[in-house]
Amino acid sequence: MLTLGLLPFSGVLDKPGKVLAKKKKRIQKGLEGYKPQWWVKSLCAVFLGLPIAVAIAGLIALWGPGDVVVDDKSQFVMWLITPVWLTLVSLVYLFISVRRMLSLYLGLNLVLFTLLWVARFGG
Amino acid sequence: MRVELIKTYKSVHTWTGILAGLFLYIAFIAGALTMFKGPLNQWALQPETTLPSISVNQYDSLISEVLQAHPEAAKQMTVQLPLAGLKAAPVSWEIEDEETHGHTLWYASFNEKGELITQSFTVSAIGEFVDHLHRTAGIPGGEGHDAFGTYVLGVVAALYFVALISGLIVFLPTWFKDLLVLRKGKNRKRYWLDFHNVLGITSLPFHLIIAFTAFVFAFHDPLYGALRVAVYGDSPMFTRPAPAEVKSFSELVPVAELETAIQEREPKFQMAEILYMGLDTRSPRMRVGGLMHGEVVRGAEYAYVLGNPYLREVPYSSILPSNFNGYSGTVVSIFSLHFGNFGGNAVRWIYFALGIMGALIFFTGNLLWIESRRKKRRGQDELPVQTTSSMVMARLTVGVGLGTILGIAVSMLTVKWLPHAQVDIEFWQKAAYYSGFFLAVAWAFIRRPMVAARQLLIFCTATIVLIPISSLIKGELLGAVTPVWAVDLVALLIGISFILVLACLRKRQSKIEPDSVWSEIAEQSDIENDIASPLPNTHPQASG
Repeated sequence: MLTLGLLPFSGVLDKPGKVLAKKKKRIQKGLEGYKPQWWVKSLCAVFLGLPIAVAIAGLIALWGPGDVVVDDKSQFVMWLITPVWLTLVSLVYLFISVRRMLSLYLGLNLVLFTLLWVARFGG
Repeated sequence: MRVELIKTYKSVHTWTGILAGLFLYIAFIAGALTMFKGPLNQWALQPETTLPSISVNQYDSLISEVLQAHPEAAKQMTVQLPLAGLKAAPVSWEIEDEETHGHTLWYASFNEKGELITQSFTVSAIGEFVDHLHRTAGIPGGEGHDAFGTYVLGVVAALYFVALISGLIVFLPTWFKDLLVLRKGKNRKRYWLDFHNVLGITSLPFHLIIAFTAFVFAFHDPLYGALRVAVYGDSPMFTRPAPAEVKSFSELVPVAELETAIQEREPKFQMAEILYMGLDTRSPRMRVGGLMHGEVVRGAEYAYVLGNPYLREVPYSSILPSNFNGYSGTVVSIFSLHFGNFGGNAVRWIYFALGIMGALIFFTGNLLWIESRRKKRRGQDELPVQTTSSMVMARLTVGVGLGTILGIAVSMLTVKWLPHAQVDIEFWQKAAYYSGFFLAVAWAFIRRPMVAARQLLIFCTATIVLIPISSLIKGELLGAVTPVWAVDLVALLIGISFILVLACLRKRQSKIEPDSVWSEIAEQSDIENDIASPLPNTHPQASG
């Protein structure tokens, strides 16, 4: 990793690459009507992303291999929340609009918490 | 639109980066130094506040004599075995004053005749102080894990994670063109951007790990709380040993037997430290720390075994490398990847370099931010007024950037020269750090940024070079153990590299465009104005 950092000083890699025009067009079409709305998106992501991450971690706690109450497993499950949550927050600006984002995040919450409740109380 | 998307991510990157950058800079500089916390602590020890070390077989009698003479030590007592290296004393404990909540540290050892000696003093432990800076960025308030700064840095770490991902998304579309190139042309922005990208891309995995672990270190309690509400309910998350009878201190497992018991589980474990807690209660606990060279371990330095000090068995051993299961292995690896403890000194130096590189990412990020907000002069027009925000950012970047280094260096000098037996060295090393830090920040706001940068750099270099010189004058280098003289040697090398930076800065001085915040021309005219008119200076650039 560190030696890679020395490469630029040799200056040998200074050649621009080409982005395929076709691919470019396809990406552009897919993002028609993109709205930044990044304040709203950030807030929604922070508050809706956390329960998603907790629910995923919880499902692993209840259904993952091993007993439910094992010290190592509880720690692992706690550690899992943050990377999932922060990734959900970071990727939220990829959504075309707040509406699409909300429908996915709310939907995921609904599905995951239903599963979690089944796992907790349904056996 | 694709462009819109990239633009959004660019503003996300800018905002998160600018908010978090300076805090992260301090945390990374201090964090790089924390890799050598042990050597720094040893470097700061003074003979007046160091009790004689004892041989391995004297430990059991020392522990029992201390507990007899000072039963209050049973609450929490630390035993440093010879493997822990140079320490202030073999046994130490803390007494909390119930009224003032002030802490007094007590140390104990045997003298040459084998009699118990106990003494209360404060040791500098500059390594611990640097670690504290690393965890709180020097933000005051609170103590230990509940320090206010820890939570601030937790939030900063979350922003930092978002900044990393958004930076990657901005970089990706042109990644092949820009990958690992450094174009040093006329365009300064291009140069800083390339530099920023090279640093970021080459150390991205390290940064992702650091960012999310730092968040968890700050907020694990609320996260456990969330899990309790949503998942575990009333069922306990952790197993707790059943309360036992209160035993007499004489029944403690002898040190040698403890080591044998642990080594049955983990043959490579070499005991270095024991922390006893609640020895006179119904739930006595101990945490044994040991060296395991080349293994992934839980602590910053040691592998840990938790257990009951009156029992020979090792109950909670799954955090030992030989007993890893999928869960504990992953968790311990995450700790280990943050602490960089898995490959001895070689990995420590790599982590040191990664830490400095990290600090440079935030530094170049700020320079980039300033550079892209620069108002350019058109032709022979009058110089445009730079925005207040880029001027303030330039001053903060210089002040905080060099202030952190100056603060730590001044603090180290203070530790070297003040007599620890007579003053509260913990207070003075803190005071020295803050005065160095705030002096630099204030100076950066008084002078033009570039002038302040040069003067502060000279000041920093002088202070850093004084560190090995002080050790030399005090005659402490003769017969010093390796970690101690290594600290002085590294300080000298850092001082020399600072002189090189200073030379580069001087060389660039003539090439700085007059419409940059880094230009010194405006200040020269300020001085002329000052001489010409006694009226307060209203030149826009002076206030900017």
